[in-house]
Amino acid sequence: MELAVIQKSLALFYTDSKLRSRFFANPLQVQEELGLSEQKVLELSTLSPSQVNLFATSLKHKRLGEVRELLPLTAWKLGKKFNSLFWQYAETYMPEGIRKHHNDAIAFATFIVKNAEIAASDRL
Amino acid sequence: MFSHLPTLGVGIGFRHPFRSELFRQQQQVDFLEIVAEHYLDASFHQEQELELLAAHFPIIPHAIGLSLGSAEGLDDLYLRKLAALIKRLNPPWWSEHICFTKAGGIDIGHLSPLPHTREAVDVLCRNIDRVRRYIDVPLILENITYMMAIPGAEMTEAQFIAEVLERSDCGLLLDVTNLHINAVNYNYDVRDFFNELPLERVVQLHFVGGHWQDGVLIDSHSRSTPSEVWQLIAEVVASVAVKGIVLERDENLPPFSELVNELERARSIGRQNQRWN
Ligand SMILES: [Fe+2]
Repeated sequence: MELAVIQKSLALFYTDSKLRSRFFANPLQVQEELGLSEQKVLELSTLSPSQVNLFATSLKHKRLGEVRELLPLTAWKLGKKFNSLFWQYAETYMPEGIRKHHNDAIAFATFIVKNAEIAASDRL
Repeated sequence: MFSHLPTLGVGIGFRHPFRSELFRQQQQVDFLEIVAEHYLDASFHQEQELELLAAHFPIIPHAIGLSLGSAEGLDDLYLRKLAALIKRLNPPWWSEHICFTKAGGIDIGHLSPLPHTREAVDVLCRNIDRVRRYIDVPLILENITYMMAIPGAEMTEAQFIAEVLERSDCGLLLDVTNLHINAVNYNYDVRDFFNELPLERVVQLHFVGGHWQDGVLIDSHSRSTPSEVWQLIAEVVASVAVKGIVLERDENLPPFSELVNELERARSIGRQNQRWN
């Protein structure tokens, strides 16, 4: 049973940068939120923050690569902005399921459109 | 132990960019490995592509998202779709990884390491039992790379893999590159690792090259195979009757002829050890 809670905590550390920072700053403060025993939370706190950060970044890069392949014209048109917008977007949505990369691409396209609308209304 | 499985020879992980070259140089490739997830919810064009590939090559489905190590169990829909794909292709074996990719409703999106504990062994074996109710084709399990070791280990990684293979009676897809990368990043001796593995369970190998980033060797499938990995392939093929060796290049794809050269080198290692003609 404990493994399920550990795996959920790890999945959160890998994908939620705010929770990850809070955990590494003070592991016991997020113990209750994660549903871990004190012993387990202290054990997990021996994870290397730099290694976990590297893994978390690689996950986002992987998603970016898949989404870029699915939205080639958008990537071409936006140039460098495609990446910077993706970094803003990446933690607002976590794709899942068999069609996760398609869903990610659609959600990112929607994010780009909303972003452009907000920028346009700010200019008014 | 797995001697009844057919010898496939030297294959390559299928990737779209080299599709036409692959057919032009068909005689250089004995079989293909496909990423199963690409065909679970296939479009008409993907279906056609799969049919075309299957008409010309033996195909091994390689799954990456079943999450065999998930303590919360397996995704039923995913499992049923995977079973249907494997049934349709009727391969001599199929493969997945010793890892988890899903937990608490989160799809991590990559192969994530398990803690090397008895509970994780139990979870893997339980999930594999369930998989076998849907898929009766032999399953072989692959060793992964990891950017961080999960605390709380009750055994070494090699002991963990050995325990899972023995208890679930699965074959091993030994990714020689993953082994090399972990040995470099965590500073251990590959030969010690071999000594703890049931090498008689090795059915297939994976090989490719990675790259260095910030002092870490990354499993990026983006470079040609380094000499250390060739050396390990030669050692394994000399001692085990492997059934197939697959080049697993994804990124930074060179001209197809370079990939064929690597396949030829793997083929000659197999020939030298009378694994195939
Ligand atoms: Fe591999």
